[in-house]
Amino acid sequence: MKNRWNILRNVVPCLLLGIMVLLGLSCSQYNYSSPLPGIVSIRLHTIVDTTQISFSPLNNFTLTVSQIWAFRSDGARAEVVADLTALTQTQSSGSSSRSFNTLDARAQDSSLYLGETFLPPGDYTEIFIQKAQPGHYVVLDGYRNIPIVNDTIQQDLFFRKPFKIREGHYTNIVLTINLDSSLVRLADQFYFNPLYYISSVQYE
Amino acid sequence: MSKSLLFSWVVIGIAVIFIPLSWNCKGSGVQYKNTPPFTVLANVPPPDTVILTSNPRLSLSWIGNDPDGYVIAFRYRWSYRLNSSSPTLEKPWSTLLNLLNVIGAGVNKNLKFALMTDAPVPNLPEVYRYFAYLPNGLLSDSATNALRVGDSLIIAGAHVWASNPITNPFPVHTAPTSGTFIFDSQDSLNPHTFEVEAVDNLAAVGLPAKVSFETPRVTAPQTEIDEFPTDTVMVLNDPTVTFQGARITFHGIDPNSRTLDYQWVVDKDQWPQNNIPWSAFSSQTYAYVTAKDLPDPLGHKHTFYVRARNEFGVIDTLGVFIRQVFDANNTPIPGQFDTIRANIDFYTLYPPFQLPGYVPRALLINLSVGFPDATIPRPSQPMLTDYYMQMMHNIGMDGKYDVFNLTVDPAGNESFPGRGTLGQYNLIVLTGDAIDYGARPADAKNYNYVRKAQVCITDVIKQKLTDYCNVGGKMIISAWALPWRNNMGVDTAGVGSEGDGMSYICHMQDLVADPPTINLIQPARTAFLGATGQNGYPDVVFDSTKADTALWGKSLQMVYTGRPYGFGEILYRYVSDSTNFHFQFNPGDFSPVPIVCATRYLGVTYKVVYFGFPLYYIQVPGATTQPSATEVLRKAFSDLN
Repeated sequence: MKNRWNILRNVVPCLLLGIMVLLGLSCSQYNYSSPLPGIVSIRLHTIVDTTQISFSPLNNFTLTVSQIWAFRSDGARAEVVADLTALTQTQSSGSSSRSFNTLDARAQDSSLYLGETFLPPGDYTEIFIQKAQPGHYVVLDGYRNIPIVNDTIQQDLFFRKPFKIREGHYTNIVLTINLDSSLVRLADQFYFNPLYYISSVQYE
Repeated sequence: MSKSLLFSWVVIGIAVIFIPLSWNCKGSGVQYKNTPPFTVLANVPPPDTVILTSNPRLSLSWIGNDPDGYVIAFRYRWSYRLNSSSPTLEKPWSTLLNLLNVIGAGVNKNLKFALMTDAPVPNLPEVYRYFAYLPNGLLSDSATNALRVGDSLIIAGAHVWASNPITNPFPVHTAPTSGTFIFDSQDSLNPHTFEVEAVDNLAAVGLPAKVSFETPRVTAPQTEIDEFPTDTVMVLNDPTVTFQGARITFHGIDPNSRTLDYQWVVDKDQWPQNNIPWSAFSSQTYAYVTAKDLPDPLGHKHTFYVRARNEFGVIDTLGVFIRQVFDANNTPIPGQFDTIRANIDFYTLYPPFQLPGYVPRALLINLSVGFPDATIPRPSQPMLTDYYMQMMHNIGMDGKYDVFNLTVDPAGNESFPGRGTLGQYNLIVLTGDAIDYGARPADAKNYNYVRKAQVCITDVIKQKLTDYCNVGGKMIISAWALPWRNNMGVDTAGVGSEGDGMSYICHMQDLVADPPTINLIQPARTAFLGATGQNGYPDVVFDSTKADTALWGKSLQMVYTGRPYGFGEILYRYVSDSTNFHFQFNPGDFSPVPIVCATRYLGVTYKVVYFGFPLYYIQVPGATTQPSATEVLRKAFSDLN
């Protein structure tokens, strides 16, 4: 009787261990493969009659935005930060706003970066620019400070423009502001009547 | 278990099964009838009593209830008659949904309002469901905003709108159980019976609650004109960024009315009498009259009519009333009355230079009266006029301009052209190049002159020039000491306002005289040696051959500098002698010290080129034309044309 018990005491753990090994061998490997991110790049393009207002370092009309978001078709969203090395847009001061000179020469050929970031591949539906606000003045020739009449206007801009993010590729989105329409000239002021739109989506 | 106990359990089981099965609801009972709702008017006199109100406006409140359901709406109407011999008529029913706590769509967005509908009683929506459905019983913002401007919504198939949106202040309902009404009161005494009844959830209507009363006839408001143009106004067909129209202000008087609105028309007798274009009623107490409002846009004399309407809908058709005159102690003076009219005459001019087919023509105005004993440094008026005429000849303006030399009568009144004259020209060359610097004015109190030799731009002249600009005029100004405080100067109206001619017309601000008024190093009194041209203008230098060197040294004084205002552009930067380094132009460095002495404003409507130095005293180095300042004037003409 005692021998039988001893046999059981030794055999049962071995059997259990053997079963576990067999079970372990039978498990298939999980698929851990994940796609590489794509990159979205948002740039500003300014349309303006250069016979009236030129792209010059002496001319300035700022546009300040708080945050830029990309919305995926499944409802997920991601912030588009300043560049690929930035982790977040919020600065140590707590401010997350960025200002751009729409009369920067780079805005003439759509090369003024509003933001650039890695995004998961997928179908995206819209770009959301939070709290877009014009500057208080248009500076012309470095000395003419032309007040903006409704400079307190602050808009949340939704651009419903489908675009794709492809693994390892750039998606270049160009946001255009038409200053010929947006800045209505008064006697000694500009009335700001903003006209923004996404003019192109290009894939590299 | 005994047999008897088993039997008992069997019997109980059979009973439990069969008794409920044998039960049924069939019977011969009668369903209760719906009890109609009832309505009670609050705080009204006993029935069969008629009261006389003090005015046609009356606020009434009521309540309603339904013993076997709930009230979904109230509807009301009232009776009226046109006159004592007219039969009694009744207004159509108005229906209020019994929906509480709707805020924000009324005249005041913070006030509550009620929802009205034109749905017939059987189709009234059971609004209690919506009361529960809407968050906190309120309408969403977008729906509220739509209601606020008078739009309607569809609720459960019913056409619904706000009781008193912005466009329709009466009747006022802040709840479905109250209202402020204005009752028709054409006759001297106007009997009314107001009745209101509730509608329950089965569309049953109860007996109406009634109240009878009489309202007095409403007196018309009175209308009075406050401000109107006392001088000829230049008008265009449409407003521009610098032209709104001839402004006329007015107000109404009606102690019985909480609100007044107005409509106006110009020259109502000249329009077809069956189609007088009165403006829409508005609460604005001012009007801007443009040429479009005139039956004859090119006519000169016009009459403006305005009439007020009170909240009872009564319009001031009389247009005149008598007002007691009071003395200094506010005591009525017996027998003395003023006649107050709601119409006023005013004068307009449609500038000919804005009419189709106009042939461009310029006007040269010489503000300088000059010196009796003329010398080259102290020229006479003819010398200055000849100088400019020579330049106009060089530019090719012969036969295309007129000359106006200012004169001053013994009483000191100057003869500046009126608006009727200015409007004949699409370009004005205004020059005031002579001052007697170095000698005090003969009469220091006589500020009508700049140093004896130049007529000042008085407020009257400034307003004429401003009006001319506002309707699209073009000006070239060359003047010595124009910004002097008693000349066009800086006005207390503020930079950029019409009263401040230097910024509004010339587009110069922050003007600094020589010696400067700012707390900087005092420059020598001999300062202006010339100016560096920009935007295509040639450099200029002071013509030392015209200097009174004994008093002036070798340069000009009282040449004011500043910086451009608004869209004004820099044309010239000041060049001073070496002792005035802080007036020097330092290329590439924006100095905080204003050093600009000439500007150009090419605006949406008007255009001005302003030279803060007198062209008479400058030369353009290298220019072969004589006078060489022609090149400066030529460029100005080029900019404006």
